[in-house]
Amino acid sequence: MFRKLYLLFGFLTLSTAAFGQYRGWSLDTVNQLKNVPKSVRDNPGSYRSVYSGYHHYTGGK
Amino acid sequence: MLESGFSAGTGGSANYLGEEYKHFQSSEANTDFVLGEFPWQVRVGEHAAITDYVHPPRVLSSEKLDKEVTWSIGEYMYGREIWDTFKLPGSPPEAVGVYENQPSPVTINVTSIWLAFAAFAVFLLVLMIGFDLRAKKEPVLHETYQYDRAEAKGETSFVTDVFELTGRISNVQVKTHAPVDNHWIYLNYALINQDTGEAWDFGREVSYYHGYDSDGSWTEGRQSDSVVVPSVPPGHYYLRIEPEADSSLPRIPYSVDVIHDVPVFGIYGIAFLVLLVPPLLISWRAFTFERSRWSESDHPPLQLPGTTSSSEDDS
Repeated sequence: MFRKLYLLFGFLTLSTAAFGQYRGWSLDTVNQLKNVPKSVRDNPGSYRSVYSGYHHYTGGK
Repeated sequence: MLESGFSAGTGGSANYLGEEYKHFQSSEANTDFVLGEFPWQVRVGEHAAITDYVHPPRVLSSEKLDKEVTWSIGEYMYGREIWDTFKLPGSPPEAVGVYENQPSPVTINVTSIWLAFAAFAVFLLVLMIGFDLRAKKEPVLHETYQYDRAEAKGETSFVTDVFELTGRISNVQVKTHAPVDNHWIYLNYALINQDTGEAWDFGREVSYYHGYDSDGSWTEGRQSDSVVVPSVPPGHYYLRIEPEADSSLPRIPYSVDVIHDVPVFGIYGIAFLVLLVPPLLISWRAFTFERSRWSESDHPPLQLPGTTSSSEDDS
């Protein structure tokens, strides 16, 4: 019984991996936005990234 | 008394009706006191050498008296079975520890699970190679820019040329390279669909530091960075880039590469780990159960220094 469950589990895992690869999934965090105005192309300053002003690295060790 | 189908093996095992029984324990038994009914004539002061061989749920026991050897076979019964058989009131007491011929709760064949895991791992490898071969890895933008501190007092953001992503929904890799040396540059990116206004917003830092201290030489960070934007539909896109940089540097060159449809190997890594969890759990459960069983035997799995097995204690 457990072996059958594991076979099903493995099949689903492989299917998910294949589907994710096919659909272009990623492990990186990216913020998705809708309806960015077309004016950004002519005036890039009219858009502000949500990551703007993020605390940056300011030194090494 | 066992009469047929039995053969005493060598090296701590016995065979009965085609099943191999492993030696579990040898001990000396003395009769100090007698109470109850016995199918043989028992006497106080009798001395017997007992040897148990196990093949759960059965146990094969040898009792050696002066000139007589008696073999008997037993089968493990749960307390509930005995309670039900004799129609005893209440519940049997909870079992403590693991008895020598107690059946393992892991009823499946652990080896077969590992074989299934190995097959899945091979399939995963085939998937990885297959998707890697069919991925387009299409470069759609390659530009080199320069962050100029003098010009940065005004608006620093700009947009790239429009590039087209064709085919099905897929991912987009944005690679940044900046030859920073004990400095950093931060880039606010937005991948914008010119037709629909849909955007993917992300910030990436490229920093590279190195030096020398009491621990020796050290480095931190890299001069390159890569991010994969997931599930981007086909269409016409451009990047909005807003760089920020260390104020002590007047000028930092950097390059941006956009590649369409790349394999993400981390997905396979996660799938591999997910597939590994059930075999590990099953193996661990089987291992701990058998370790408890054999820790009571003459062959404990871990013989700690300064300890002796029970048979050695008895002798």
